[in-house]
Amino acid sequence: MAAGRLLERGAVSVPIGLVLGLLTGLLEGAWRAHLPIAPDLLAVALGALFLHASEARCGGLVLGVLLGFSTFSADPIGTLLLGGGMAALVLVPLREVVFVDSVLTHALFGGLAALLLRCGRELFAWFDLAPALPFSTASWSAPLLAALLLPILARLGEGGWNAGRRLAAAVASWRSRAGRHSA
Amino acid sequence: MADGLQEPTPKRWPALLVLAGISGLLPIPAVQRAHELAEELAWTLRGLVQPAFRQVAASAVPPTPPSVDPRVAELLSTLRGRVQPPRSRGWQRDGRFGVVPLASGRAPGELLLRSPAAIPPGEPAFHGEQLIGYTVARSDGTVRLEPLQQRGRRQIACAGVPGRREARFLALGDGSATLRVDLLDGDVELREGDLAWAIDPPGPPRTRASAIARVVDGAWLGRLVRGELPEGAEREEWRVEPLVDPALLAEVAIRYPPGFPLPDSSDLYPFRSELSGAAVVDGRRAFSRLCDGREAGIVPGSAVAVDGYLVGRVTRSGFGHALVRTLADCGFRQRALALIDGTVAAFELEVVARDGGRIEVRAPALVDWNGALVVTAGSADGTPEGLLIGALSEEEGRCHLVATREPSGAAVAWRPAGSWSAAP
Repeated sequence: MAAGRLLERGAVSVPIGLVLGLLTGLLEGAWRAHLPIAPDLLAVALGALFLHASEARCGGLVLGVLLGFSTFSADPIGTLLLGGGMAALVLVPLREVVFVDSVLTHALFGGLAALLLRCGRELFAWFDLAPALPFSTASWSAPLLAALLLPILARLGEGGWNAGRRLAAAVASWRSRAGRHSA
Repeated sequence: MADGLQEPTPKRWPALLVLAGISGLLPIPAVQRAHELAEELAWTLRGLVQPAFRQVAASAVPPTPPSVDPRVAELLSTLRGRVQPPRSRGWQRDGRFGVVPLASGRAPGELLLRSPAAIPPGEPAFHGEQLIGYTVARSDGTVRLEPLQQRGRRQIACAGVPGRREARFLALGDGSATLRVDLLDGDVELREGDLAWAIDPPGPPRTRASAIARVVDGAWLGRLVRGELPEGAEREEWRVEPLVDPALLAEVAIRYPPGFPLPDSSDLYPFRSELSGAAVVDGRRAFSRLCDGREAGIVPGSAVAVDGYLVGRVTRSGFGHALVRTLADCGFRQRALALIDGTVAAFELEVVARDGGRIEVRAPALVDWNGALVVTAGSADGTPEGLLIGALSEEEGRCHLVATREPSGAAVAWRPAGSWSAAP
């Protein structure tokens, strides 16, 4: 039964994650086409998932995002799986001990996810399965921007969510008032 | 409600993800294949979300894909003619010579041969009139080329002036670059610079039918040089220095006995397609998308050329499009031939760095490579021989690859034979 439930959850969450990963890659590609520096949007997406996704389907979503984003990466798929897995291994338990609504926590999740993704890649490069790329000052821009972007997106998302809820409540009350008038 | 009362289950998926990632480091073919399959499935899905666009006008694409530049093919053919020993020397006996490329990895004591066809063991290998060594069958079923310099290998030889002053000796390989002269026969004086040549071991008396049944008789071994001995030593040490350095050889000619199939050139089929823009998000990498994929027979390893110039190689192929690693990507490696001053030398072209449009490559182990024309060496998995890559140029003490082509527009992908190419 447990395996069946797992499969059922995976059948829903992995495709959703795949599409999310592909959209993340498309967005980062468009960003880099217009601006010289860009955040690691995969790290931002993973950080947001680790912070907010429900535990039950988080694994499938993360796997899907990694698979989807791997099509925009020149490295073997193992680099992303390893980096994403390490990020999950560190950040998912961390969620239990930190205040998840804090701005600093959001920044920490974004930055750490970016760094751990890079660690996965470097491990493959160490085994000569990916080319070793030179580190420069610009190399740190992606993790730093990811750490900066995640709190902003979290605040925007929270604000949007609250605005949506208020709008829905207003629409509901307007409907009930209109129903009473018509009666 | 029932779910809320349950104990929180331990989260295993992060560990499973790490394990899946680590498995990519394992050199197990089945695991590697599984990773490639996942990559290609995801890559195909990307093609559905972001279709590869064809930006080249139909008129710009030639109706028949161009083949290798005929001038390069002729040059290579001329150089290959120098690899084959002259038939008049009779070393081919009733067989023929086949030119076999050497792998770039030169293991100590043996040279690896790159041939998709079988190689006869126990046969001599030549480069022109120079005897390089003999083919040897290994216990793993492969056939390697064992050079004369291999420790323990012996060759009966002669030195001096043919017909006038000849001294027989045994040329012994001791693992060094030269051969040791041992068991010198007679009191014939040896001089530095004397030519040394191989002779066949004495056998049954020759008949008319076996008058030209030479194996290596008369093949050059090299020139005599004085060996280094401790100061005060009374005897003379002679060594034979080969005329050709085996480490720089691109190809050797191996004798194929009658009935043994010659190594034919691999079957590769050109396919015209288009390259369309950057394919990955990392700005430090140089990849491009090809507008056709597995449905056209394009597989990882297929070479991609623009105007007869190699611009990259397919690394991932899905349905409808393929990912091409271009020449400008750091770490790109390609087995290549450097043509300079009427000689050909094989080397592994490796891109070290890219600075704007300048591609820096690792300098080949040639004495003088500045100005060398670089073309591809043939490979059965999708690279034809003779595709132009560029020219080597020395700038500020570094080796740069110049006169390359941009990976964009109309391109030709080279596909290895598959089920689609079988004759009806």
